[in-house]
Amino acid sequence: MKKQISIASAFVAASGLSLGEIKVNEYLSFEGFVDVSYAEVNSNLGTQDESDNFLGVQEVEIDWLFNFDRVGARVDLQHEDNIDRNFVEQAYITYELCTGSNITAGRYATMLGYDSLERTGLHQWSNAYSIHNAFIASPLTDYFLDNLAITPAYNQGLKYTYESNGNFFGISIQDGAISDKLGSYDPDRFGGDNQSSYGLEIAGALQLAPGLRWFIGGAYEDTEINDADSNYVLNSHLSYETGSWNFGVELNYGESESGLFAFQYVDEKVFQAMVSANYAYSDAASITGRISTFNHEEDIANGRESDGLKFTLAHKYAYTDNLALVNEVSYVDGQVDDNDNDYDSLLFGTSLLFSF
Amino acid sequence: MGASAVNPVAMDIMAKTAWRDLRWTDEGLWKQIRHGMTSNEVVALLGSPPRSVKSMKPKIDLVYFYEASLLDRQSMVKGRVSFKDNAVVDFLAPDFHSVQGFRKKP
Repeated sequence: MKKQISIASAFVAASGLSLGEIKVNEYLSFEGFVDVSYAEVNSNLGTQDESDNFLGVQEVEIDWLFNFDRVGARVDLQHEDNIDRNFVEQAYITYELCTGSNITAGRYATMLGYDSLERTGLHQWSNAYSIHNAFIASPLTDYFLDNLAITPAYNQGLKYTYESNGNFFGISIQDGAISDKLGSYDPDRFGGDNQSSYGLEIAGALQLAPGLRWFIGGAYEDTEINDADSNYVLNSHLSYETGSWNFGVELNYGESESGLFAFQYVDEKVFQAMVSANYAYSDAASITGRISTFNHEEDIANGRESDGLKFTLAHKYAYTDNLALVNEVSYVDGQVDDNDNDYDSLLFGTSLLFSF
Repeated sequence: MGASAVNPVAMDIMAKTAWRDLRWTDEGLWKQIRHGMTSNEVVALLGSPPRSVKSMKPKIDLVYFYEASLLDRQSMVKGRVSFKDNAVVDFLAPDFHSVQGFRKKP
């Protein structure tokens, strides 16, 4: 029977039918996910009440993976309803120098951050440092949620990485660092005159014990926004996995002379921190608790200061290996010093996640 | 077109390529899968999976799906191997006999 199947399948394989819905051939495969969401938020800022909701495809991502022996490439295409945008999230080429040692060129994600770019393990609906608008008056507040994380997102450059036995080192020279989130600023130049920037990222991680990993890294960016201003972000996180438990702790600190953080266009210091615990109470379900805090301070005398504390409780149930339902309730309590107003917000979010 | 038109080299390449991708259709190989094996050991045994997914289940990181459909979905053979921390924690061997039964139908 083995031969019957294999010979028959040989022709099926040769004709490209019914085999490997994901692995197109030995050189090309793809993966991705769809996130259909509903969320509702009720906010209060001083005497103003506001409610809002979101229903739609929060995110769709299709990643194309190319593999040619020591050379690989990846192109990630993404749509986000939340910010009404289709874009190439990542597009890069990787050359393997030797086992664990790689050179990467192109547009790629930052090495920094535990719960800033993507929700950790997709266990929650929202990121640790994302809140509903009105907290800080910035151009970003047109969106349902503002991700105030100060770590970079995606930049273009050249990166060297080395990974062995859970230990990691990486260094990246790139066209920017933090300013990538502004979108309109110097998206494709590497230093030079007139509104240009360059950036550097360095990161390392150590496997301290089985399940225990410590990461530390930083990003520096030199801009020409206000006559050769500099900006930097430091990020460190510790994760521990034991049995059915996952724990995470993260610290972010950054200073920007170019107005690259939430207040924008002003010198600003930011501190962010997070602690989270995830417990899998069955083969299919887990519960997550998270506390995160953020403090934004304008770096001038009598400058604005805003801070917040966010409490998150989330539940995830996996119907199959590639279909899960995530429910979250988050409460944010903060203060917008600008208007000397208290701020609080209660959010319910639910996501149906399908991955392939 | 006569049989002489079939390029034997091409047939040989096709057969070897197919067998490399379809080693997992050897029922005996599934009996060698053990809990704790690494993903590299599984690939060395069964070949590279045609489909894999980062699992949504909390106690599973990655699942290798070994699937092939000969004619239609009823004739599909499906096996899977689940990993946590790069070690096999669960697996399901394909039911090859169900395919044989289908093939015996007129």
